[in-house]
Amino acid sequence: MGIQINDIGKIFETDDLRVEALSGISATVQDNEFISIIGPSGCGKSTLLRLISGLIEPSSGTVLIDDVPVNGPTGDVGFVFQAPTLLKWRTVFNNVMFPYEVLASQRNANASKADFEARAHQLLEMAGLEEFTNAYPKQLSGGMQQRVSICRALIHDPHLLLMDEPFGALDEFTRERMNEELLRIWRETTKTVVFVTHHIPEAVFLSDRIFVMSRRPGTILGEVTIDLPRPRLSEMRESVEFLDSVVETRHLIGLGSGAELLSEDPI
Amino acid sequence: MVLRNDSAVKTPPSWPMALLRRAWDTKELLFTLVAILIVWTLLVRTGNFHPIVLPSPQSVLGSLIGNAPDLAEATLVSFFEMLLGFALGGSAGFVLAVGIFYSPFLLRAVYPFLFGFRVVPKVAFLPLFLVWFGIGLTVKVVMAGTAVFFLILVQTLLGLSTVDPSLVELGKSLKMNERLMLRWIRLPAALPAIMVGAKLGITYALTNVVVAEMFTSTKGLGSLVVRARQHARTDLIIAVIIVTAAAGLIVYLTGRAVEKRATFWYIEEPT
Amino acid sequence: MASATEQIAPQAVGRVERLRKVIDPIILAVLILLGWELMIWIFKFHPVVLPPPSRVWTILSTQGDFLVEHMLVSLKTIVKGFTYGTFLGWLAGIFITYSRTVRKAIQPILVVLFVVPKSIFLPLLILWWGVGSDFPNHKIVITMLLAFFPVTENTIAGLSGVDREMVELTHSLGGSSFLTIRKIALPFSLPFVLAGLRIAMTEAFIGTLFVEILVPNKGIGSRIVDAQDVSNTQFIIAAIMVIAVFGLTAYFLLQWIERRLTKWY
Repeated sequence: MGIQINDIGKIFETDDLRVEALSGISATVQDNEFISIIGPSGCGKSTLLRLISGLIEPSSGTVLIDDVPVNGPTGDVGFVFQAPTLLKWRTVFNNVMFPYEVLASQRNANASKADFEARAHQLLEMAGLEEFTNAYPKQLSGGMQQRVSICRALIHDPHLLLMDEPFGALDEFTRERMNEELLRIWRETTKTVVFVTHHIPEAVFLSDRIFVMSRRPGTILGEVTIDLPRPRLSEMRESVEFLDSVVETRHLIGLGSGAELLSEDPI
Repeated sequence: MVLRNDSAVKTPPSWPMALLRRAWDTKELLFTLVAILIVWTLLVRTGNFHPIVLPSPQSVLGSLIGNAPDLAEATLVSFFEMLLGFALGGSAGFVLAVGIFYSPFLLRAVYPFLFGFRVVPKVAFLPLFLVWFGIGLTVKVVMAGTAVFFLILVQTLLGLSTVDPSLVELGKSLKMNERLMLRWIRLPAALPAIMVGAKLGITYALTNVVVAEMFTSTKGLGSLVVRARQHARTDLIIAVIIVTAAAGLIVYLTGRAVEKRATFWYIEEPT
Repeated sequence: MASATEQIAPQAVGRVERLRKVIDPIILAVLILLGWELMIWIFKFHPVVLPPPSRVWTILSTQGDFLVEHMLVSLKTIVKGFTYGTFLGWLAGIFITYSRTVRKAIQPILVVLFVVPKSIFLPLLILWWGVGSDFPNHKIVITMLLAFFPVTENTIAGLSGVDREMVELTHSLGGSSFLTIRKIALPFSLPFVLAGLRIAMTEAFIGTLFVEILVPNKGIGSRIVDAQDVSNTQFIIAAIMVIAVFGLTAYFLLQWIERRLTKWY
């Protein structure tokens, strides 16, 4: 699923506020690429994700998916948020099946219920959660809940996976493990992934390319291409190429020595 | 070169525009009120209602104006009883709560009874209070005070019990004795909960005062409405209802305003 | 959802403290009863003014049936008013949350209805419907009115508290708002609504009782007024205890239901 973003702008307006969230963003994402977006808080990363998914419309410019302009939610997108956002009153299995119910309610499901159920079991197994199929979210740890959330995002086999800081709430060890899990799942299912994060090493480890965004109004300051081979292995985090990419990204953002200062306040 | 536009706030409109916008915002409410008035007038004109059953809006308005002195006096009496009851009941509840908080025995002993206080309608005590206190001012004040007492008691205990432990640790690290701790840390931290109790309490106080007045029929809004019924003056009944509603609204809004001023610094913890 | 009262619960760590949690209230009750008797003995209260506990106990044992019988009569009204009022309150909560028009038209009126002492409507209601009729019945109307508000408020709080991201997820899959309400908002709001029901039950008790006291006819409130006419204070105290027992049972019953239904939340 190739994404083409052409000179996107987005303005939010209420009675007393007018906020220009995004301004003049252009980018291309190839089919099956893993892209990360990094930027300061409030730079509009989440807005960009929602524009790509069709949840909101751009004020100017267009978003094309596979050369077709995005006109609203396509149903072919998987979303993972920072909080697992599971339905607490449903079992893990029924949480993963939730997208099926939504799609089926508009007769948009491209497979039968049995197919979906089989895929649900498969995904849970792949994520290492078969034992918890009938457990409730309350009984799972944060990392496990997030894994359920990822399964839920994959069950309808979307071509596009959008992830908004999904591992932000986890500690460093769990985060690294989840990074590897994610890449494994990605390898086995092949999708285009747009991944928003604050964490530079994570972005470098996961992606083919990293887009660096500016402060509000958000625009793309630059791009970092990651030259590490796939499959990415944990040891690569200590390689010279890895650290070079981290430094390159840091400089683009405005951290560290000899960097172009992004703005006066670093927060 | 990236353009930086940090000013997101629009210039506020001039005051006539702001006023117009406010009026336009309440259009649904105004529409509903006007609709009610129209239906009421139509019912009175076309229906066969005896004026005792459904008086016309004009007669109600006439009552409001004509009986203004009585209405004003009744309102003041009720307010006075309510405030007195609130002050007495509230302070008693507050003091007792602090005492209970500092006695582990009392806290354990009283805790189960708190549920009972909550559940028993204070109005059930009215006949008992009437036997004890007669039908004068005292019984109204006691009725108001009782409702407020239990509410403030529970809310103060709640506030004191849910003080952020890190704040207490802060106090201890500064070698505060318990008296200072109470004054500078525990009570301010408990204030939001207490204010909630005060806001609700004063509304309940008014309610209980009115109920007591309705039973004893001497002075105040409750007595006035009962007398109006005895004289079959339905227009006056509705007038009293309107005045009482206004009184209740004033009381509630004042309580809310006081709560906001007193706790403007409060940050609601996400649950 | 823990009620305010529950959050005050004394912490009990260890067996001794847990035991004291049970014993201390009993100690307090005994002390109060003794103090009660003592005050009567010292101040020589006329048994009408402050009847000794023994007399109250006598009433409870000899007229227990009578008390319970009339309590049950009141309970019928309480439950009816509670059911209608809470159902309407729930519907109102849903409409106010999801319809801007309804919210702006009705909510200010509801606020005024909330703050007005509802007893003030009683003479008007009696004028319209009399005292004997079954429905509409001034008792049920007042009870409904009191039970209505906690449920409306809690329903609104529950429905409004839904994770925005969950709604976005549903929309991104093309789900309609109706689906979102049905599958996400309503289940999410369940704990809130149930907590509101608990409060509404207490209010329903209050409503029915004060109508029975102000306009004596049937029910335990009216029997209390009968007792007051002859200054039968021990009966009044006994009756209050019976009401307390029934009220507490209803409250804890609702709380148990609430716990069972929201186990996984």
